[in-house]
Amino acid sequence: MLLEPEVLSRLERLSLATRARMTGAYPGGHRSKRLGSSVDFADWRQYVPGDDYRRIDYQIYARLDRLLIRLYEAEDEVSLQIVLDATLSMDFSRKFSTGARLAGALAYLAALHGDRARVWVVDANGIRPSPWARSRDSAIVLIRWLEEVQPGGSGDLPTALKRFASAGGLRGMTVLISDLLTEDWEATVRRLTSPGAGGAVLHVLAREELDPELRGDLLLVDAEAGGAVEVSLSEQVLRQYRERTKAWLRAVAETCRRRNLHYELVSPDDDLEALLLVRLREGGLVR
Amino acid sequence: MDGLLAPAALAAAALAVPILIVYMLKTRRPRQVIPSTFLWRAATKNVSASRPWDRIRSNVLLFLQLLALAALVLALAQPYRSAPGVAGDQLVLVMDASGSMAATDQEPSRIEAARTEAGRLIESLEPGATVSVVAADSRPRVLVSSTTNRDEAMRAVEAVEPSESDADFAEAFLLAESLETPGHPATIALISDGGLSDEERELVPEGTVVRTVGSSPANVAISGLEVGEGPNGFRAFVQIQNHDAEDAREVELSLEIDDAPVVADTLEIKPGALVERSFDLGPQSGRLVAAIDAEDTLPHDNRAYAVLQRSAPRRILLVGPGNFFLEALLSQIPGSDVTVSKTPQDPSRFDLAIYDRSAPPRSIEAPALFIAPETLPVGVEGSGTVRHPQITFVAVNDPLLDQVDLSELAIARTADVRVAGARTLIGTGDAPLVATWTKGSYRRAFIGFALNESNLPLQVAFPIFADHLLSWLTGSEPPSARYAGDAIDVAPVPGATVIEAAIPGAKGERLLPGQALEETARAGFYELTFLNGDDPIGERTIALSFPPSESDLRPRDIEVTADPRRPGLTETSRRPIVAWVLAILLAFLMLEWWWGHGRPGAPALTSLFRRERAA
Repeated sequence: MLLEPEVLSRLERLSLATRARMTGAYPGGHRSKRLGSSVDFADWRQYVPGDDYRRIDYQIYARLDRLLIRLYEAEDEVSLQIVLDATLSMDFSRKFSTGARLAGALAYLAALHGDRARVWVVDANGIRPSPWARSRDSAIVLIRWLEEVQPGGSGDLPTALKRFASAGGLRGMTVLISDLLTEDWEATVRRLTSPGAGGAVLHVLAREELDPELRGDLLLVDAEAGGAVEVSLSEQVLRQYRERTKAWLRAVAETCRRRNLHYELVSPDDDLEALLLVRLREGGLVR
Repeated sequence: MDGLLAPAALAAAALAVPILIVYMLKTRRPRQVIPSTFLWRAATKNVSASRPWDRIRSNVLLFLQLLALAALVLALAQPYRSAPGVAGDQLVLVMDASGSMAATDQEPSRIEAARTEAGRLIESLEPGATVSVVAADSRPRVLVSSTTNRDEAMRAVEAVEPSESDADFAEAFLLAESLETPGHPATIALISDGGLSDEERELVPEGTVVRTVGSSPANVAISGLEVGEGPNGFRAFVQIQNHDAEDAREVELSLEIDDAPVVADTLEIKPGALVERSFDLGPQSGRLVAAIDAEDTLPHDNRAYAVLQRSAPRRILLVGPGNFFLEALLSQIPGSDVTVSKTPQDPSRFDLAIYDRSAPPRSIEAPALFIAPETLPVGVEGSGTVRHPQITFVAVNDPLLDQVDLSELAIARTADVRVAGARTLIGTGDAPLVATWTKGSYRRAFIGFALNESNLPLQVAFPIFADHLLSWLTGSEPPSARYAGDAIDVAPVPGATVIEAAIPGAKGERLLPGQALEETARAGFYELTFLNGDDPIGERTIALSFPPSESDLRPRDIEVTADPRRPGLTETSRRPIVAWVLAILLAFLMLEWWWGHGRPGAPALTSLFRRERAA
C-alpha cells in the first residue's frame, strides 16, 4: 500500500492552498479569477438589461439613484497537476516511492476538499497522466494507479513538460516531484511555470547524493544515461563535491523563487506526515 | 655531441610506447552505479565508457617520464664528442717554459693556454695510457714520468711555470725521447709559442704533435744593456725595441744605480723599430737597473740589469827567453803591469804568471799560463812531441773561443801530453793544444806549442783569444752569463773554500770552487759570497737580464717531419659524454619524483607509472 489508511485519515484535515487566484472548470473552494456567487463582495458595476435584478444594490439606488449590480468573488475548484519523475535516476534510495507517496497524498487531500487532481508520470515512454481524482474514491483509485508505476528508462523532463503544457496541464496548480539530476534542470523548471499558475518543486534527493560515502578510485556509471566518470575520491575531492552540490541546490531554489514556485528539498528519510503537516504547511502549499 | 657509439640502443626509445599505453589505457576501476553522473561531471571531465583508452591529456609526469626515457636511451646509445685525441698509449708532453710563455696576449697567459691544451690531450688518453711531462726552460727537466694517474699528470702540468730565460729545446727533446719505451714510439706533444731557434727546429723529433699558443707580437722590450768603462767613468748603452709592427710606442726610460735614479728619458719608438741610447753614468760603481714603463703583455723584458765595477790593475809576470808577440800583446792590455824575467820569481806577488818555454816551479800560488814549458807543470803528464799536428777538435761554444777564428792556424810542433781534469779548447787527437783547468783556487792554462812555432801570433784571432784567456785566468773576464738561464761559471777567489749564492726570487745555493751556478732561471742580481770556512773573503755580483730572443712574441708555427711510426693525434677521438647524460637522467627522475611525491599538494598515491588524477 503506497499510503496507509491511517496516514490518509490524518491528511484529511489538510487542503491545498493557492497563492494566486485560479480559474477552475468547476466551482470549488478556491478563489477564482472570475467573479461568481460566493459571499465575498468584490465590486459594483452598471446594471444592464438582462442582469439578475436580485443582485441590484438597492441601498445605492436609494442614495445615488443609480442602478448598480453587486459583484461577488467566484470560488473555483483547483486543478492540481502533479508531474512525477519516474526515470531510472529516481529508482535509488526510495526516492521514487517517496515521490509517489507525496504525489498520492497531495492528490488525495486535493480531491478530498473538492479539488481535482491527477498525476503525470514521466519515464522512458514520455509523459502519461493518471485518471482525475475528484473525490475520496477516485483519489484511492489514483493511489492504486500510482502503485502500479515502476520507474525505469531515461526520460526527458523538458520535452515531457512541453507535452504536459500543450495538454493544458499548466492551467491549474502544478507540482513537480523530481531529483532534477539532469543538465536541463533549469529548462525543466522554466517550463513548469506559466502566467498566473501556482506551483511547487519537490526536489527529491537521497542523503547519499548530498554526502557520498564513496572512497577510492571508482568508475561511476550513470544509471539513467549510461555514461561513466572516472574518479579518485579523496577527502579533498569529496569536499569539493559537497560544496558544488550545495551551490547547485541554492541555484535550483533561487530559480524556483524567481518563478514563484514553492521549493522544498525532500529526502527519502523524511517523515511524510511531518513533511506535509509541518513543512509544506509552513511553506504555504497546504493549509 | 657528434655521434653515438651504440646507435642500435636508440631502439630502446620504443619503451615510450608502453609508457604512452599505460597513460592511454583506462585504469581498471571498480564500477559503481549511481543515479546520475550529473553532479560528478562538474567535478571531472567525462570519459566515455565505450572506449578502452583515454585521450592523452597534458600531464607533467608523462612529460618528465618521457624526458627521463630520452635521457636513458641517449645514455645507452653512448653519445660522444669528437675531439683531437692522442692515438697512442704513451704521451710525452714537452711544455715550453721559456720567458715568452709569461706573455698575457692570450687570456690569461700563454702558459695557462698551454696548460689547458695539455689538459685536453691528457683527457683524450685512453685509460691505462701513460703521461710524461717535460718542462722546457733553460734547464729542461722531467716533472713526471710515465704515470697513468691523470691527476698526477695534471699536477705536473700545473707546476710548469714560465721562467725568465730561454728554453733549451735540444735538451728537452732529448729528455722526451729518452722517456719513450725502446721500440715503442710515444706520442710527443710540444706545446709552445714557437720560439725555437732554427737549430732547435731541426731537432724536433719526427712526428711530434705541435700545439702553438700566443696571438699577438705586440711588445716593447729592453733588448740590450751594455756598460763600458772609460776615463770619465761608466757609460751605459741601452737598446729598446718595439716588436709591435703596427703602433708606435712612447716609453719612459729610467736608469737607476743602487735604486737611485740617474737617467730618465722619454723615447718615441716607431713600429718595429729599434732605438739605441747611450748615457754617461759617472764613476760610481753599483748595480744598474734600466727600466721602461711600457704597458705590454710581457713585463719581464721591461727591466735589464748590469753591474758597474771598476777593473783592478793586473800584475803579470812573464818568465821566458823573450817573446816579441807576447810582450807586445801584454803591453797593450789596459791597467796591466807586466814584469818580464828570464829567471823564475815568486809568482805569489802577481795576478798572473806566464811561463813561456821556461820551467815553472812546482808550486805556483797564482793563476798561471804555460806555453810550451821546458818541464811539465804539476797536473800535466806526457812526453814527446807531435809534428805538424792537425786540429781535430775546437770547443766552438766555449766563451774563451768566442769570435776566435782558428781555421788558418798552423803549428809546426806541439807537446804530446795529457792534462788530468782539464777542459780542452783546441786538440789534436788525444793531445790538447790548448787546455784550461783549475787547481785549488787558481786557474791554469796550457798551450802545447811555442808561439813562434805556429802562425797564431799572425792571426787576427790571436789578440782576441789572448785577451779572453788572460781575462779568464785572472778572473776578470766578462761574466760568463749575461742572460737568465745561462750557467754562471764562478771565477775562483784565492782561499775560498765555499761560495754562497743569493738567487733572486729563490733560496740561495752553496757552491764549491769551480762549480758553476746552474739555477739562473730568473733575471736580476746574483750575489756571490766567497767564504773561507765561515769567513767571507770576497764578494761578486753578477747581473742576468731577460734574454732578448724571448721578447719576440711572434707566434710561429713549427713544421715537423711526419713519422708514420710515431702515433700522433687522431681527429676522430670519441670522448663519451655518458656521465653528463646520466646526470640529466637523474635530474629528470628526481624532478619526476618531486612532482609526484615531494611537492606540496602532490597526489599522495602517484608513482612512477601512475597517472595523475587530480580533482
